[in-house]
Amino acid sequence: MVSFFDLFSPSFLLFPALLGSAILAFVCPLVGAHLMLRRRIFLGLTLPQIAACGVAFTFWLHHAAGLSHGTGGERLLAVAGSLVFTLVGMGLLAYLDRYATGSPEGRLAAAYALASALTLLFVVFNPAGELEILNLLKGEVIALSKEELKLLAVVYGAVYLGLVLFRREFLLNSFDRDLSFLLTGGSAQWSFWLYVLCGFAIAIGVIMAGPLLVFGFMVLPPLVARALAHGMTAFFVFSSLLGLAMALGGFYFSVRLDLPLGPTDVALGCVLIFATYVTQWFMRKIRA
Amino acid sequence: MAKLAPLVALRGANLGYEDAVVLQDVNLELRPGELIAIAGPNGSGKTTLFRTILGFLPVLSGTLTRACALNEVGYVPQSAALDSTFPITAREVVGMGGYGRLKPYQAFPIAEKERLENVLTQVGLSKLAGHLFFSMSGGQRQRILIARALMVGPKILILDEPLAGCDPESQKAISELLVNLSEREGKAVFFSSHDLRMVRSVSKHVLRVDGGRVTWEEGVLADHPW
Repeated sequence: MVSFFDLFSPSFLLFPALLGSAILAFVCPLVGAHLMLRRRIFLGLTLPQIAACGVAFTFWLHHAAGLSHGTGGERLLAVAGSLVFTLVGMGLLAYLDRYATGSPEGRLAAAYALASALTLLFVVFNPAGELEILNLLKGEVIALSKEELKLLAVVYGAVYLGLVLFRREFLLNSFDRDLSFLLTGGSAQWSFWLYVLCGFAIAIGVIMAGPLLVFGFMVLPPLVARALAHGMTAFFVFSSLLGLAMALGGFYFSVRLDLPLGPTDVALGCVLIFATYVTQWFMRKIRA
Repeated sequence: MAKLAPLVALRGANLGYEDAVVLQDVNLELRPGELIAIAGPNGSGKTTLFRTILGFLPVLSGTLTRACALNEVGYVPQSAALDSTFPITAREVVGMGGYGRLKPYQAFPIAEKERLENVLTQVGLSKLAGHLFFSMSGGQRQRILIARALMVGPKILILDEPLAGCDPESQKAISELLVNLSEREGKAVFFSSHDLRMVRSVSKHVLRVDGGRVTWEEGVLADHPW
């Protein structure tokens, strides 16, 4: 039987998957924390679904072109589809936020519904891609190859570096756009770069681990960190560390109990939220 | 004594938005050491005037000249306009005022940390620096935002309803602070309020805004109650 510490042995069969999961879990919460602060957390739900739609579209395109299923080029095409759909979708939503009237939440909900529907329709037209999409939706980070792990490490490393180096600019831009305009000469550029980083993280994350796991890592750790943190640095650090804990714990239970990784991680994250808020409630009662 | 050159001047300016003029024929000069209050009912155009001076809105017609850069203007928004989602401390809020002087990847220098402590002391809240900003009272939050504006190192301070939602003690502390900043430190201070009695007690120079016009109130002399 696999013990918790066996997971960390490089000779462990699923070690690359564990590393991939840990990278995702460390960076995604930082992206989600920024979206949460901007009250755009549902972008974290909608964009992964749009990315999944991009993947389904490229699988369908591959099938329609008469190419055989399971080739290396298909995977590369899927990465491109995920990226293009995410960035175009994000640009379109940002444009509508700026120039259209109506509720931004309503637009995000409509975009989510449309992306989900289109994903299923593309799968219907391409039965060969059904298994790939199903794996994507389940969050099969277990199947991560070494090349994919390298790509994930490079992209997420760059996103993390960008979020850390420009943390002050992004924070100021999210907290008070007027002051950001006065001090940095333009607030739109920082919003743009933040969304570009988020877009890359989501697009690559979805192709590697699926929308459920990416959304779970983006939302759940910052929700717990928000309740525990005293200060913005603590909020960002807690978010990443809680994401990491969620990934390691989820991986262990997934291997030990033979459960799919994505849902196990998300369920564990929800348990963390529940435990945090219940503990806080008891602490308040005790103090009162 | 000769008057100092104005830091901001509006001449014959129409202000507002693309499809609606909110204020007409505005003539106003703001000089170092002046404390000017603008009073008027909610929705009368006080914020439009501020947002134009700050460069957020263009002048529809007439002229606006500034003798200082925008990053030399300290702006104090209403604290209610900020999002309480952020678990941010008072010290972190004040520190934002120094961001304009730092390169993106640069660590917060010691000189900035000292400056931060000085402005916190100036607003009388250095002991509360580690507290969460949104757990503070309305008056304390307003003083923290003034400290953030001072952290910028401004020549002009523009404050949108700084006394709104404050208890009498905080109103007194903020009023004293504004007078000190203009009289002792020579900063141009321009603030708004919908409470005419309040602004008359703080400033000698009162502008009234109503019906799309900005007019000087004659013969007002500040009668500081403290």
